[in-house]
Amino acid sequence: MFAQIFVNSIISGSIYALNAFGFTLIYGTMQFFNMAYGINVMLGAYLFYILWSICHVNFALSIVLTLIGVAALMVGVDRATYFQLRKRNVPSWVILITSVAVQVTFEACTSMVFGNEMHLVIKDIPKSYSVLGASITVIQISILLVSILVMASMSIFLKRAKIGKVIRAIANDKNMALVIGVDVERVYVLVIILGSLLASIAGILISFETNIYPFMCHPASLKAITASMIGGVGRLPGAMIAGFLLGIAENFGAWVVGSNWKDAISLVIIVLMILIRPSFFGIEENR
Amino acid sequence: MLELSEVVAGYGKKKVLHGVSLRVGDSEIVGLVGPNGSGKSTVLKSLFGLVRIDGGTVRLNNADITNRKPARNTAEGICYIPQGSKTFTKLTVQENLELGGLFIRDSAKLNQRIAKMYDLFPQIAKYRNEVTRKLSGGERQMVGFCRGLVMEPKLMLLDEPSIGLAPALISQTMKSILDIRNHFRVTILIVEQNVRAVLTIVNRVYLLSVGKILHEEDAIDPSTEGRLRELFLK
Repeated sequence: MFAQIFVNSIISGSIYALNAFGFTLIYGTMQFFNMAYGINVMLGAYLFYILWSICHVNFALSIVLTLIGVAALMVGVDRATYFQLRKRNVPSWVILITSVAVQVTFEACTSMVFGNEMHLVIKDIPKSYSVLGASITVIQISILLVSILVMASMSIFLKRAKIGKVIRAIANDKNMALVIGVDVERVYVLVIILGSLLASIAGILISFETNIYPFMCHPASLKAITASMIGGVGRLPGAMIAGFLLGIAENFGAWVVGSNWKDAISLVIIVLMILIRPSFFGIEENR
Repeated sequence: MLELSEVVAGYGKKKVLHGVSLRVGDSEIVGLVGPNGSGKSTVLKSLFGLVRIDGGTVRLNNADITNRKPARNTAEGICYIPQGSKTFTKLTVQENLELGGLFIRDSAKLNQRIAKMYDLFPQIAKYRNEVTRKLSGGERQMVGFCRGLVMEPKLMLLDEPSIGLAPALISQTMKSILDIRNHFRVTILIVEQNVRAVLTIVNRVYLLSVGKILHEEDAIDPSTEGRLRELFLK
């Protein structure tokens, strides 16, 4: 029993870690608390569903087109909304509220087109293996491996690549980055794309394992935000570890209080974090 | 080399500079002093492109560079070392220097320039893989200078280099600036609060007050400081 819960924890944890990574990247670099981050997950799932399940486009091509499509859409949304606000130097809460509106809009549109019922991307039952008394499917193993691979690649990119260092510099001190000649807005576009990629990959992975529905953005955003808070503001390694911890907390918590309460566990954690670590809502990062 | 002519600049509707004119010759070190709020930092920020200039011109070797963007200015050999934070505190010394060479495409050339910095400033070389947050104020200052020097700039703009430094370090910093000018033949414009310290190394000095140049001294002698202090109080 214990082993099974642990396996489930690690699988959901890896998705949460992916989402937390993307959310933290965007928040850390752009100081944008993106309440609409979950729509990357939802759109990734739905676009993939349309391409592969409905249009029967080749699997690899579906993935590539989904990732490009969602990223392009997110850049478009940014240009149309948040960018216009950034240009006018509005306070950050205005942008946050705007992102809430963006999430509602996308959910509603998806719901109008597809209806509120759930859809299934993979209908066959996958092969499963037994590990130390727990059962794990091929799909679940893939989810774990892909998540870890993506996060590792992204971490290496941020650490080693020239533009990765520029991103970290902007996250550290945006004004200093302007001084050394960085085109900060141009780099923001890249950050949006990277954040989108991480979440749309998560969305595709989720769609293999569970039902997709228009309001799936909510739990996705919630988990991302919770894990970010546990891991520390703008701290990427912390966000990833916190994602896994959240998976464990949820699954073991659900075992104790019942699985209806799974999402509530995240909310409880957020409340605890506000009480214990109010600095999350503070203004200045350490410089 | 650098010429500001009747520059008017400010933040939004509030103008800080009301027609500033000054010039800096090749390889000169020129000081800009003045009371708090006179607009000294704004002079540097506006000529570098960080603050909008609404009137007047900035010329570099006779080319009009008014309101040219910081990225272009950096690429074209102007280096700005800001007041306060001078490095990316969460990045290592090596990474800071690499970012100094953002516009150097050839990685071999960049590595060469960075190696040169480590040679000239061995005290920061030993921290090359440490994040600059761990360094002392003086060492961070040095990393900040090196970051700018990676581009081998023609013109360096230093905004209050002595700020936050212990008094003993201030004279050392001034000496480093002099060494940098002598070694790299770079032109330097320094904004400074510490009149006495900056007078030890400048060729000429301007006094800025309420957004206008009040006074210029073409040669520095022992009586200069006294004259400037008197004018400060006006």
